[in-house]
Amino acid sequence: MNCIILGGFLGAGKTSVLLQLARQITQHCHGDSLPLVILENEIGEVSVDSRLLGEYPVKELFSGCVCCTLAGSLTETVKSICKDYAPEYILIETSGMAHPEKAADTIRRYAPEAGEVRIMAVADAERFDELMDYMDVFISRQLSLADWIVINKTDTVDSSALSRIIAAVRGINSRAFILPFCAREPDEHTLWDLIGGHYDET
Amino acid sequence: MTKHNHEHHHHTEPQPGDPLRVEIHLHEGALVASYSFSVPGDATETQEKLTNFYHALADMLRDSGAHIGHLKGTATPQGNCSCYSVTAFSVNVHPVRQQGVVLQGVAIVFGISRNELQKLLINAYDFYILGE
Repeated sequence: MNCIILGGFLGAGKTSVLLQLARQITQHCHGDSLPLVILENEIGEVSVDSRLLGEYPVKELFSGCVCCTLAGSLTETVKSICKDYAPEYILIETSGMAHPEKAADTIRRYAPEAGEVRIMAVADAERFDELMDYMDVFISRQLSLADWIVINKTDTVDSSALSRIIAAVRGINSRAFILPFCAREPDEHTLWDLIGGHYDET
Repeated sequence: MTKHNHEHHHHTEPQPGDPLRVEIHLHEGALVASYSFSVPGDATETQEKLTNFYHALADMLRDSGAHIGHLKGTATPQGNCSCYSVTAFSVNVHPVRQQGVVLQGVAIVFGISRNELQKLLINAYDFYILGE
């Protein structure tokens, strides 16, 4: 099993990236196991994003954050997914207010049966400058310990702005693979290549 | 496995005809407003009303000095349905005609008070959904 935690600020496009990732995993996983189970976390009292994921098996944790107030529920839910379904991938979409590395620590420590836990952070190219103006510490922390950083909404910025954003993100996290991406456009395999280690950043 | 397993149910699902319901809580410095309401009308009308509602809400929030984290919602169509009723031997079928959508949404914002956020949601709802 593999566990991928999607992090990133509110409105960065985590659900759109998740939809593309889930579709690519489903297309490329041909084993006997269930390809994936999605665990959706929102801080609101109603679940909005999971309604967009209708074709996939989804568990929901809402009205709190899996990195803090719902950490116990996160452990229980991940354990039950492992026990009941043992999918190839568990995809966890955290709320935009979560610290994904804390959720990753919780799973590594208390639900090791989930397998390797890695973090995919989604950064918002459209609002990057605005968010770094008033939430820089928070945004930087969300990106700093990610294994992969998907810079989403590249269609909203020009190439020089994108280069500047990539350099800024590289300054925050020097070891992550960085993928400029537009989740609004169809993509067949880039995210699959990224998580499989076949993505060439150059 | 069912497609959606709800781990937490905090209130009943909103129903067609429901007025605006808002619950606001604070999470790590962000105000999180969970709201629901029904919107009468056909698909074109409801989409137009909701687009205007969100445009207006975003503008009002910015004008009040708030930083918008995320405004989002899903509109579930309330189409025609049939009710089946059995008390003796016959099965009574009652077609029910409904039009409109039920919207469930969340507004996550920074930099304004709880009361201000509630007031802006109510104003946007009154003007753009109820047309008052």
